[in-house]
Amino acid sequence: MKNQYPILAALCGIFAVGSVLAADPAPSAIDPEADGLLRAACTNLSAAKAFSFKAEVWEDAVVFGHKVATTKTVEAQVRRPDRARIEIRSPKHSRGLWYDGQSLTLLDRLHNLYAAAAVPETIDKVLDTANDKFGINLPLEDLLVNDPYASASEAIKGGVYFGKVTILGAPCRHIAFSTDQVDWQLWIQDGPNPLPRKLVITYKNEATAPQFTAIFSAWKLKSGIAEKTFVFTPPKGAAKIEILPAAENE
Amino acid sequence: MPRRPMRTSNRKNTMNHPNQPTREGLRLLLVTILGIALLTPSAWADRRGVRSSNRNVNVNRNSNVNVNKNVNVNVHHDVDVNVHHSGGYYHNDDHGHFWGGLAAGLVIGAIISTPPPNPQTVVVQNTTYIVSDGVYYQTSGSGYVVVNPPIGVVVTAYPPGAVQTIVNGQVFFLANGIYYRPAMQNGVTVYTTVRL
Repeated sequence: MKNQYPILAALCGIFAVGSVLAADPAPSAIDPEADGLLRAACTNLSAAKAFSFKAEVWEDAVVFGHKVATTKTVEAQVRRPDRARIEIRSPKHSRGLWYDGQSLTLLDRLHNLYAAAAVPETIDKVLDTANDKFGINLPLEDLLVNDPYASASEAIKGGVYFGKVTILGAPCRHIAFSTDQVDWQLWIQDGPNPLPRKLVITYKNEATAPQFTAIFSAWKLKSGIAEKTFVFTPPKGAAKIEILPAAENE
Repeated sequence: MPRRPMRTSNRKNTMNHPNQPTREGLRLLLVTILGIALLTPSAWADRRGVRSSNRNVNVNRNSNVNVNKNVNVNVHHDVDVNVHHSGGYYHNDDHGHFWGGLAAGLVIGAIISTPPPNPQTVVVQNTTYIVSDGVYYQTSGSGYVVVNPPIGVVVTAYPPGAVQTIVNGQVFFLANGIYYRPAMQNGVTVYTTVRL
């Protein structure tokens, strides 16, 4: 049958599309393209026996009723499956962290104090132990795990690909995922060497929905990193102190 | 739709300056903030990644101030904001400059006229303190006076001018007759007050 009202039909079509867009339903499915991009970046990362990167991290905090952004830098060196070396610097703190396969050592560079704890045999288990027993959240843990794709995709409820975006001059592809606890976004370098260039995590269930942002640079995927990198040697005059169980504050 | 620029967004706001409350208002504010601080996870906690956020969904750590009788009040707002004193917690540390003079080492006896950030009221040995970032205050007519912390509590920083000493091979910081024993907790250095 010939359509007698082509313009009306077209308008109806536009309204139908428009109303769908306007409703912006919660993503209930994982866009295969988003998943594919995440998988490619994670596979690229997990295929490397060792890697290092730098990150500028921004975290929201609410202080005196002001939502403010605080910053720190993170330099990480990882050798799978059981070595990690991290430096964390902020305007008032400077901390080093060594994981040599057996113990986790934390150095407070400002006070020249350090503490060590025996920890399990892989990075993944160390992340859990550090968190559960000692209240330590290792920065950018999502990139440190041995299987970042499995770790990241475990709790995903929805995922979307948002197209190409440039991050500090680097062409990237923007993907976003949601879990019950957080919404997170990743910008993955476009091209043959897909790596994260930016990560944003929104803690949507917390008051003021604070965000965590990391901008990555100096990515190096390597075949190895020398053992001495991961072995802690106390700086001159450093004093060893006790490590206490996690304080209950969350 | 584009966000409104800051100027237009603010145009209709009547700003009540938060730092000019009456005494009564101040008390109410403290109580309110205390309640909020205990009910919600600290905005300053060192942030979990996606992985831990999902893993620890129901790990409901006790936020009670007096857990274990430790009076762990300062119980970390850990991140890197250490508001006061460069020695403090993990605090998103980098806030220091936001409260200017407040941030840089407060000596015992110093008086501030505005409430310190995230104050919590605690009673230790029948004495009421207001604790913020491991600094102990008591109210006085003109504001908040920085006082010596009680013995046996964990603080995030030792007072400025504390002297490092070694006792029986253990490092301490001594200030105003109180020894501060450093230890790592939640990824940062904290200090337990002891009398030797």
